[in-house]
Amino acid sequence: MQLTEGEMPQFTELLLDISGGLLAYGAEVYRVEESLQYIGAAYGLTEVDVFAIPSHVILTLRLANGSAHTQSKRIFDRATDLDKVDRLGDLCRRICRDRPGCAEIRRELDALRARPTYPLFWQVISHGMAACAFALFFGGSPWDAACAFLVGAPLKLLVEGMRRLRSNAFFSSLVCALFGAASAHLLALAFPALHPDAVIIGLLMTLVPGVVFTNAMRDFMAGDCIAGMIKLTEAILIGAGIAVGVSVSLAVLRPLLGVVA
Amino acid sequence: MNGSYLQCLYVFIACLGFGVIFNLRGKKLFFAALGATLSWFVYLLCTGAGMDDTLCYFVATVAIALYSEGMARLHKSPVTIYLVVSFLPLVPGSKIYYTMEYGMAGDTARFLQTGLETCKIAGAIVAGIALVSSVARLTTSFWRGWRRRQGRSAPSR
Repeated sequence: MQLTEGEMPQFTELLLDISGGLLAYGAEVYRVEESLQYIGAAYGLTEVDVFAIPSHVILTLRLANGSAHTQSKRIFDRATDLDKVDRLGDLCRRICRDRPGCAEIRRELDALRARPTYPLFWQVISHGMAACAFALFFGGSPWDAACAFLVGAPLKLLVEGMRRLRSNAFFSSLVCALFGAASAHLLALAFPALHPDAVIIGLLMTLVPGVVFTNAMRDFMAGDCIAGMIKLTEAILIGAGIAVGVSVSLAVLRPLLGVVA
Repeated sequence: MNGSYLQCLYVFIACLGFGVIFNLRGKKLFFAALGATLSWFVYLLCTGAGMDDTLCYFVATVAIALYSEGMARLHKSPVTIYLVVSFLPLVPGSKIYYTMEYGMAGDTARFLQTGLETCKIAGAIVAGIALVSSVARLTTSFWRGWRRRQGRSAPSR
């Protein structure tokens, strides 16, 4: 399909929706830029200038007759959803291959957005399960694992709540780490057989900024230093938040309870 | 840390949990968790062979980065979705925690020692991911150019 002048605003908007989705669901920034360039090339546009950082995309498309179309998109809410990243990648490949019209791309994009996530209940259970298995992994007893599950499951609700309240990354990980570490210490006070260390480490593993960190590294290696720096800073902030949260609970609760561990 | 192979099972369960939180589905969920298991298995093999601890982390990271690149090409999906789950067991959670604990207890010597060990491990993971993804990018551009010269359309990835 050949793009006409009249379709360009809509087409630009569609590409921005795709890139906004990729960024919001946790793809690397270089992937976003590359995808748009491939799509532009497939449609025979003479120039595709795209600049993306984790929270913003600017896109200029230039037709053969020289007319340019620029739009930008700001991304506020981010939630890791690797299934949608995967599907968006598929969609980009399909767009490059078949060159569908705007209406069809829009339909596919809507269908993709409607794809389900796991129900909150299962996410809560899995969060607990991850904390529980990591507590065992780091040498906890089965009782520690049970305790990690009990604290880890509601921790997911807290993480989700902080995200919905649009709390910044530093504060939300601080609160989550504080909640986890304090609960572990209090439970250890009630049941002296528990090792709070193993429980807290299990819980910490669920808060580690793995996606952000990995993407930062991959963006650096793709030569996108701006995006890499932004993500690395975010990962460090999250890490610092966790450290402060745990330290506060250690500093405040340890003296109150006597030395537990 | 001298771990037992039972840890691989724990890693598998934990990373299934992470996969669900990241909304991975079906076989991708399974293969991502399998990658995590593989990373710890490789780490254990390396420590068993008496290698330096940092080097073990590096080798394990390279192994799962290669695994992720392979899986991504096999299933036509982004590398990240396997990589973010697979490298989780290598995150030095206990070292980070004990660093903070020594710091809070005022034990500066052990705080610095554990902190440096943590940094070394983080460096090893970064180096592993960096190495493999750079080489993979070079290979991809090479093949893409080669195919273009062959007159076929380049894969859009």
